Parts: sequence; C-alpha cells; structure tokens
Amino acid sequence: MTPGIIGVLVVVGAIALILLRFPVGLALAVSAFGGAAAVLPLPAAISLMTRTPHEFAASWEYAAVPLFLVMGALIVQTGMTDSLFALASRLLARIPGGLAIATNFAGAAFGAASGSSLATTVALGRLATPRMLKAGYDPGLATAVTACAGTLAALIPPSIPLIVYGILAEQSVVRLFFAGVVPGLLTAVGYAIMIAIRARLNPALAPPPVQEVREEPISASVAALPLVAVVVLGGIYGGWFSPSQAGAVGTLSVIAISLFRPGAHWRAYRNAFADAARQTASILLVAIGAMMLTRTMALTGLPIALADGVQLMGVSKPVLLVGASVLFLLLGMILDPFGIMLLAVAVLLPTFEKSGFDLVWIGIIIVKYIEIGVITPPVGMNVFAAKSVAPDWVKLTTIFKGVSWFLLVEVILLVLLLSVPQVTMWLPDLMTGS
Amino acid sequence: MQTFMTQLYRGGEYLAGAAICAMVVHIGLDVVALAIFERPLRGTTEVVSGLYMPFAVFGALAAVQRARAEIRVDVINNLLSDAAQRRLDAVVQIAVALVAIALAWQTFDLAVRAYDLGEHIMIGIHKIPVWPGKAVIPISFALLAVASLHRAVRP
Repeated sequence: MTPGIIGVLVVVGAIALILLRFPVGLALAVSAFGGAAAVLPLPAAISLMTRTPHEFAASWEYAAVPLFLVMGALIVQTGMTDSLFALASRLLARIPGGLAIATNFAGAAFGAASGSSLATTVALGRLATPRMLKAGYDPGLATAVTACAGTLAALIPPSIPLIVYGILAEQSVVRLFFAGVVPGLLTAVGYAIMIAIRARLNPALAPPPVQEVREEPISASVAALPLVAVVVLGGIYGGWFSPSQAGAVGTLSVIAISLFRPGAHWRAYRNAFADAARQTASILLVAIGAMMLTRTMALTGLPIALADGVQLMGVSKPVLLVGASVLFLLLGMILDPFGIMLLAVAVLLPTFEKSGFDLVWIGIIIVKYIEIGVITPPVGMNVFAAKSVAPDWVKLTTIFKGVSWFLLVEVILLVLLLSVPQVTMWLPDLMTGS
Repeated sequence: MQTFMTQLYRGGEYLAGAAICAMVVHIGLDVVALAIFERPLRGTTEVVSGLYMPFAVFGALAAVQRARAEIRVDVINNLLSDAAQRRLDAVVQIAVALVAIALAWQTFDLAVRAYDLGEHIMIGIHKIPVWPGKAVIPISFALLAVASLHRAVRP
C-alpha cells in the first residue's frame, strides 16, 4: 500500500470513528496512530505518538486558550452578561425587533470577551430567550438569534478557534485576530439588519417597538467590560502583550471589575475556573489528536501530493475555493467545527499555500464555514445548545427554521468575503503590515 | 464508591482549575514586573509551559468524560432508539477506556524517566521540578479510562 493511500484511509478512518460517536480528539489520535504504524516500524510509531501529548501541552502559545476561556467563564459566572444584555436592550428598545437585535449585539460583545461560541449561545439562551418569549417574540427568532449570535465569538477576537488554527498553521495569531474583526462585525450588523427588516415587514414576529424605555438600573461594571476588550486587543496590537499575556491581563481585569459588583461570591470564581478547566480539556484534546494527525499526514505525504496534484491539473484559485467551500459545507453538516478545521489544517493547508492563498485569509474563511456548520442540520451544535436552554415546548425544527434566515445573511456575507479578500485583510495589513 | 469516584474526577478538575489560576497570577505578575521594573519574572515561560499547562490541559479529562462534555458528534446516534443509543455508548466507552489505558501505559514510561532524571528548570539559584508536568499525563489518562468504564457501566 502506498503512503498516499494510507493517508486517505487515515482520514476516512477518523471520520468513521467520529461518526460512531468516539470523542473527536481520540478518534483523530487513534487513526493517526494506525497510519503512523503502517508507515513506520511499530516502536517508532509508538514513540512518535506518545511524545505528542506532552510536547503539545507544554506550550506557552496554547496557554492563551485556558486564559481566554476562564475570562469568559468569569464574565458569565459573575453575572456580567446580564448587565451587558440589559444595556443593549435599553439602547435598542426603539428599533423593531429591538430585543432580538440586542441579543445579537450582546453576543458580539460577549464573544469578544469569551472567544467561545457554545458558551456564548448557552449564556444568551438562558438570559435572553425567556425575556423575548415573554415579550411576545416568535419562538423561532427568539431561539435562533441566540444560536447564531454565538457564532460571532469564533471570529471576533480573542477567538479560541483562531488561536488553535494560528498555532497549528504557523500563522500569526495577532494577524488572525485583526483579520477576524471586520467579518465578525459585518456578520453582527448583517444579522441586525435582517432582524429589523423582518420585524418591520411581519409584525407577528416581534412586538411593536417600545416608545417609553423603562430606566432599569444597570451595573456600572458593564461599562468597564468593553475596556477589557480594548486593553486586550490594544495590548496585543501595541506589542505590550503576547496573546497569552493578554489572556492573563484580561482575566485579572475581569476579576477586578467583578469585585465591585454586588453579590460577587467566591463560588462564582471557583465555578468559573472549573468550567474553564473542563472546556480546556475538551478543546485541547481535539487539538492534540489533530497534531498527531498532522504528523501522520506529513509521514504519508498526502497533503503535499494533493497540493502538487492541484497544481499539475492547473486548478484555478476560484475553482479551488468553490471546491473547498462545498467540501467544508458538506463536512460541516456531519462533523464538529474543531474536527473540520483541524482536519483541514492537516490535509488541505499545503494545497492552499502552494496555490498562493494568504493562510490568514484562508483561516478566516475556514472559521466562517465551521461556524455555518454549527447552525446547520443535522449536527448544528449551537442549535442544540440553544434548544438545551429553551423551554421544552420549543421544537428543534422551529429553531432550525428560525436559523434559515440567518443562513441567508451568511451566504451574502460569504460571497462578499470570498470575492473581495481585502474586506478581511485591510485591517491586519494596516495594523501589522502585509 | 460512587461518591469516591466523583470526588476523584472533581479533584482532577480542581487541580486543572488551580493550574489555570496559578497561570493567571504568575503571568499577571510577570506583566506588572515588566511594566514597573522593566524586568520580567525569570522563567515565567518555562514554568507556564512545563508545569501549569500539562495540569491545565489533562487534569479535567475524566471530569469531562463523566459529565458527557467531550466534543463528539451525535449524528448517527440521533437516528437510533434509546436502547440502541445506550448500547452504542457503552461500546464506545469501553473502546475509549482501552485507548486511554494504552496512552496511560505508554506515557507512564516518559513520566518515570522524567522523575528518575529529576527533570527541572533553574530559575536563578532555584530548582523548579517540571517532572510533575509529565506525571500528570498518565495519571489523567488512567482516570479517563476509569471514568469511561464507569460511564459504560453506570450511564
């Protein structure tokens, strides 16, 4: 058997194990080991695979992942998301569908602080869905907006998927962070415009806008939260912090702000650190599996053969992009977002690189695809997360139906991002030089 | 027994949480030291990567498995009946336990070697041991195997 065929079998084996409900990280690790054992003598394959977990974990760069996760968990556990949502609701109360739009922008702001798509959806779902349903919003809109606003966290920095992609693809995490800003904000604005138009055209979708806004007290600490985002991003841009240092400074800033909030309790801090520990283990186990897969793929030579094949056939850039888009969208329907992204890094990156694509831009496009994957059936992890915190009578089909309008926005944005790469790249080029 | 096992998983989770907490404080002090005294804390990168990070990454593996919070795909599972789902989960958990035992067994050798060599980093005149960062890996994989078998027997 040629190494190339072994490479294909490894990828197929990984997908089969994932579909059989194996934890994604272990599925990638097991198939990677199988491939390595087929190419190398068994002791060498065992040695290669057993060294990987420690080599991977003992990393200064990956420290940014638990640090940003704990920052987000602290914001949720200390109740700052409540204040953020209350502020957004008050500011947008006079717009049709104001509460749904407020949920959307609260998702963007929370995503900027936490970096976790699923955590944002669950936090918003608990907070905003009951209030929207009580106010008379359509259940499809009230739940879909929390599932879709959660996806903004993956693009708006600090984004956990972008950190993992940057390290595995050997791209600057700082450039990736800046590249995620415009597509992330465009998505949030696109969602808001779609909600406002729908609410105006179909009054059954949302109650009429409120003329007299009730001035509920909002904790002053919420005003400090955007400052944390400014400190984190400004510090990275100014060259004062690495992403890991920015994560620690951001976490300490959130702890400092939370101390001024009424009801700050040590249990909230304990829960936040425990939440971050669980999320770190589940996310980085997948990344360890992907690292093993990348090493095996390098041994089989499949990624390079694929890249050479694409060049030999003279596949043009647009055709390659369309082909990759179809592949990502199809995989997004059956695999989890991290699995797809890391498989893509292991197998397809050399093809993109040899074809002359900027790997920072490709990273943003891949993350955009995987975030579409988390709101499309049948996997739709964010939709399941939104369902898990919605009332029992809201059916999964209702949420997916609500999500279809957000997917329409995604299609329009994708066409824009694919056809005009400068929309994504002008900010990182401006901030860090091209 | 059930309570003991739960405490054990939770212990790993708290250890990982404590490592993240230590990381926040240590890196925070490093940034402050650099800003005020224009001198970073020596060895921050080495201690974070060699000591805190392995605990942060592997400590909560068993707790994640027990809480069914691992990243997995339920697309085929959703098509099965409840009884078939339980059977498939039990089979997968046993397979996960076998993989985790193999990983624990293989990484145990690396941990023992690191302990025998007394792997450490030097910060000035202080010797900081980093072999615990290697020891936590086989222990966490062994606990993951236990948690998976536990889940197979008592879903």
